[in-house]
Amino acid sequence: MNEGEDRELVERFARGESAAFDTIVRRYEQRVYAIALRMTGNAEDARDTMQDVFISALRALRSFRGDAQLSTWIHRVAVNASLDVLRKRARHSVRPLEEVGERPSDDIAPDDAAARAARATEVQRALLQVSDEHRAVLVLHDLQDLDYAQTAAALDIPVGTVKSRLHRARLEMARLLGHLRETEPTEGPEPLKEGR
Amino acid sequence: MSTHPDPEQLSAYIDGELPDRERDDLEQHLTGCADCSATLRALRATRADMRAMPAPAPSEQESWALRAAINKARRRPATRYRRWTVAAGSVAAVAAAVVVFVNVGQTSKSTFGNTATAPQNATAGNSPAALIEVDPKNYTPATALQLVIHGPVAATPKAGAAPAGTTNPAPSSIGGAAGTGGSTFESAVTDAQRTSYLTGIQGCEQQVLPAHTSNRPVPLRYIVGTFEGTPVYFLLYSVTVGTETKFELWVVQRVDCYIRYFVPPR
Repeated sequence: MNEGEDRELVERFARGESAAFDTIVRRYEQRVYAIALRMTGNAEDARDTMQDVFISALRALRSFRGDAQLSTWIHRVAVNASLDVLRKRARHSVRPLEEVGERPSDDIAPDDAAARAARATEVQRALLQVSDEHRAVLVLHDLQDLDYAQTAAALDIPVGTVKSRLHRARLEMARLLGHLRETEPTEGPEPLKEGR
Repeated sequence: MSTHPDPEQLSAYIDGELPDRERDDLEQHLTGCADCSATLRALRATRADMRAMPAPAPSEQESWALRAAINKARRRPATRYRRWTVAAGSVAAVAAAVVVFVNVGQTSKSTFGNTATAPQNATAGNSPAALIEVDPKNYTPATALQLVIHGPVAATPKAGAAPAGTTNPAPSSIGGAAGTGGSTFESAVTDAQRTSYLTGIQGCEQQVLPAHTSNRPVPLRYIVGTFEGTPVYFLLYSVTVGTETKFELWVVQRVDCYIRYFVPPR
């Protein structure tokens, strides 16, 4: 995400250059899809959400304020559109995960692709069990690698709220995923993130 | 043991978001506090699990659907395209639609091969505005796959583009052999339109196809049409693999040259 390039794309699009929007789509398509899929847990919902986000963008970006960041705006719309889909879906029974896998057996090596996929399925299941607001901070911070300030801007909440929600969300995830840890060795120290 | 820290500091610590002094205090506390150390390990493990999740990407079909939806929302190009279609149809007064059903499910590549069940001589002279529908049954049950082809824009293929001995009838089913012209539809297209479309389609071809293919011959046909409601170009190739000749169809969105290979699902 390059803020300067984003601004230029938005300006070109506002001037009527439709190809600029195509570039925006290419630039953010995967990110929006990933947010939507992790938020909803369902590929069909993710596809619908992705379309909603970019059609909203098509209509909104011509009058986009220059002082707002495109990436912040798109992350916000992606989360909100995902939540809208979830609210619509809530009227019906929750759809099952499409790629629900079996729990890996004990004799599968940890780095086995199937085992990793199964573990990812478990994590996604847990993700769907935490509250919407907790899931949103987890998806943006831990999966999309936004920092606290970027996450706060995207969700339009204070940084302190991001901090507390993220902590509580991780504790909840840790509880939900506790069964994955029972046979694992204790981890060594982890270096701190840099460049934040 | 020092006083327990604010619990949120543990998460901020593993995220590198703690100021130096708070980080030092926390690390000192952790050396003597088993509870906080256990919580820290759990938080780290959870974050590691999250980060180990694969980054999902939309499938080619989902990307296509997105662009189709965007193009539909744009409206203006679609309006222009409809006007152009009507004008062409009014000139081609006797245009009879030709419907060709193509089974695309039997091989890993879509073809206009032996599975085509086109009416014989369907486009011989009197059906300039050919309507081609492709049977979507082996493509995806959810997608109405229709190719509405408003006649080919004639291209002059280079010598050797069409393999010798090709007997597949498909090219004639969509408007005659390459380079022969003869479609009355073409007479309804102005030179400017023909030049415009050919320039556009060849521009897309040069822009996107090299990334997907190598040593690709000149297309047998450049075709203007729609796909899932989106204005597109079709590029029809004759490709020989071993002793087998296949006709491959590539679909390129006119708006941004987004391309997909016309391929059946696995």
